[in-house]
Amino acid sequence: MNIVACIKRVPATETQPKIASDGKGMDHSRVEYMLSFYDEIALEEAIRTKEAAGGEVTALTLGPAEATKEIRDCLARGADKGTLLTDPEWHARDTRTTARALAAQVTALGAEIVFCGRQATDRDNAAVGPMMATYLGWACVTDVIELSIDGTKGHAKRESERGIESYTFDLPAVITCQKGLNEPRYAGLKGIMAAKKKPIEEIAPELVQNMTEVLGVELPPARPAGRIIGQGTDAIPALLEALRTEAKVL
Amino acid sequence: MSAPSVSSNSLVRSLFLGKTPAASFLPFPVPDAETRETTEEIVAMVSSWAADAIDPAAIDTNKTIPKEVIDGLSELGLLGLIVPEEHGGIGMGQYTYSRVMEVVANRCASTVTVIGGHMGLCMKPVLLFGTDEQKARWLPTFANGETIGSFALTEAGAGSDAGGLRSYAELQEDGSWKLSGTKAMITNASFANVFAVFARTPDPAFPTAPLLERPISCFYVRAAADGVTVSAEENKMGLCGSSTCEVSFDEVIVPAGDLIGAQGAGFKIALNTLNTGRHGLAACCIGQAKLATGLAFTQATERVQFGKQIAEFGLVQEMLAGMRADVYAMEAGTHLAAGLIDRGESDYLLESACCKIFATERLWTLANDALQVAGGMGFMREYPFERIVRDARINLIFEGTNQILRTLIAGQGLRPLFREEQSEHGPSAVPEDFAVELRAEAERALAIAAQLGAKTSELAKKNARALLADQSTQARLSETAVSLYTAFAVLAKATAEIALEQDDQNKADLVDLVRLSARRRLVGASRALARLDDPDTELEHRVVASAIG
Ligand SMILES: Cc1cc2nc3c(=O)[nH]c(=O)nc-3n(C[C@H](O)[C@H](O)[C@H](O)COP(=O)(O)OP(=O)(O)OC[C@H]3O[C@@H](n4cnc5c(N)ncnc54)[C@H](O)[C@@H]3O)c2cc1C
Repeated sequence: MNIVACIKRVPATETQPKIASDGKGMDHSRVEYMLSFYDEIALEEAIRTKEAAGGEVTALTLGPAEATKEIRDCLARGADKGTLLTDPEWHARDTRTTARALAAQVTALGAEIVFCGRQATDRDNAAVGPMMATYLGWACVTDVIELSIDGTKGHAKRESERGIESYTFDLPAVITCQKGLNEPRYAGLKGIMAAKKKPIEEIAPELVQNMTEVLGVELPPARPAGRIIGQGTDAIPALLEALRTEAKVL
Repeated sequence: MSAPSVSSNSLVRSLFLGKTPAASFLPFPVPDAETRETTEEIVAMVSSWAADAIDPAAIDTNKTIPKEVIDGLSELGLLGLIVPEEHGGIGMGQYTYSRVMEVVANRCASTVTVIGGHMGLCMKPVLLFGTDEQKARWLPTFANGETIGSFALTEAGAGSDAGGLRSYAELQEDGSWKLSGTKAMITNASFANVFAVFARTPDPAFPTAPLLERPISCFYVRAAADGVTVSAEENKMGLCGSSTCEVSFDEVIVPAGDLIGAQGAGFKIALNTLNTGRHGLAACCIGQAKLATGLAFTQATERVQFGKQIAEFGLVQEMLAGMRADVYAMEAGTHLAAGLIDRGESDYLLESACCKIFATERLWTLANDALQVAGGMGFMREYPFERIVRDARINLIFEGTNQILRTLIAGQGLRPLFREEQSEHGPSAVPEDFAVELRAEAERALAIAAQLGAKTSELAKKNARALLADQSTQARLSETAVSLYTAFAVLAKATAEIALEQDDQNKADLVDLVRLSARRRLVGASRALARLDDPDTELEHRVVASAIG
């Protein structure tokens, strides 16, 4: 099966965000990057699908030249090849622009199934996957927590606010992956060494104009420091008092 | 007859002669781009695995490392890190090894001893001295973790004086060996499948030699062999999760092919193994030091007393700044030696010993300071500070006590003075070799090195015999050498980093950090030198003698 995992280079979880001097985005100097959390799950599911059905996994990203680091991480975990749609302004693209560029490459690659994270941990839009499916005219199941592929048919369970929903669909399809679908593997030393021999194709993508424009970004207000009222059961009356009069939650 | 000439590329040896051969530390050795990249990828992977898979507090409390953790080390391929590719590993060098040791130690000091005992110690004899057949037989199973190794040198009566060991092996008619003896305090013992055992063997040239005059040989002995008994776990102060047991061998039959290296070469094999092992131990100290430093900074910025973050108080800052400066120095010294080892220098005995002494003692102080920053809370088992202190203590003792290593450094460093050897060194460093921001520290370091050379030669001329018998004086000379080695490592590493730094603010921050780091070493070096002129040796000797009676 021709399998694609769409992955994104995002600021590492520990990054303390700073606003760029133009006030319209994040200051990208001194930032460490990593593979987005849900994309690790997407990649793992892509690899498991390959292990079950045979075929090949391509790790696909829209990102800067440095995103070969995140692609190599995917190759080390078991993807067979990588495609980087080189775009130094990747972080400023809106979801539509990103989804179109990825969808075009998915078509060029001849993919039969595409795995995405449910959302990227930088912007949390949770939109690129379903948008890509729309452009491709493919089935799409989001927030998947259980999946099986049987020939050209798929069965998926997704988590929603209302409970667990079960679906069946025909390939080709786009699946966005939720926590719990699998436990991503570690690359291991052999994987890291093997990745060096796997190909990464760098392509200059055709990008459409953003349809949204960022006017400004602000950091959330700093949270006031916590306060320890006391210790043990003796402190309960003071705690109740504070909850009633200061926090006014009781 | 002219004196024989020995050439030395060793910075530490040269320091005793007042020389600072620039080529031994400048430019600061860094691995090639591909090695750096691979190392970063491995370190990132191991670090995220360790954060998920290892629970250091549970390992300490339960006094055992879960099997899944040890299996995890194998599954990630970590146990083949330094094994050549043709034998199933990935063949990385000492730099990568030390970075991996650091990152595992950063999570759990007990867990990293599994790797140290297995890959750093047990595997080394066959890696360095094995025949091709032995390598092909042992290395793949060491690399994939099917065989976990342990290194059995120490005996109850032979610790620092490992050369006094009494285990022995007799050659059987069929060429196999019959080995007997008891080894003490052996890491990995309870789960190891094989022990590298050091035992006396007959001297073919002198078959009637008494036991303690027979040479030592190295054997790989399977834990499952008849006659091998592993005793119960020792109850330890720290590294509580690690396994440490007595192991006895009662007429154990060892196949001829499992004598590793030449018959009688065992002591050399042990010393060579410990030589790189010590360097790995220094790397482990960096990991724990970074852990303690991070915790101390968090505590110092969160804890408020007298209406201020305690990090604002000068005496807390003194501890915090010292931690950052010392971590930088531990890394500089350890990575300098790693660079020398990886570029194929054969003489790094003293550099490795300097790294071990410096890193273990700095970590010990630093861990105590971190606990101090945490206040009473630091004393509570609920928090990690006291565990870091307990775990740090053994480092000053195993793989050569720091006293033994100080006498080793001085003994080796003084050798050319007594043998009247002419040593050759490349040109010494000059202040202009260092970043302009560090000139003052560089000049001071070079001046202290010249003083060390002058002092050593003065002492040797005055009374060579007394110097050779005087451990206190030797220790002060080696203390000066340890501090200077580290200072030069700091200055060289920083010179390279300053040249690469583009951002002005980052550069200014770096210069502050390394100046503090270098100055702390120079204060240490000057103090040790000054004590040579004010020796308490005689007093100390009499105070002990009068108490012993
Ligand atoms: C947790 C743990 C794990 C260990 N793991 C291993 C292992 O895997 N394999 C192994 O073989 N061994 C192992 N050891 C043993 C370790 O290597 C020894 O403890 C160490 O070499 C010191 O020997 P000793 O304990 O007999 O101390 P001793 O040699 O009795 O030393 C006691 C004190 O005397 C000092 N001293 C001794 N001789 C001199 C001298 N000539 N000059 C100045 N001072 C001197 C020492 O510095 C020390 O302060 C382990 C020990 C521990 C505690």
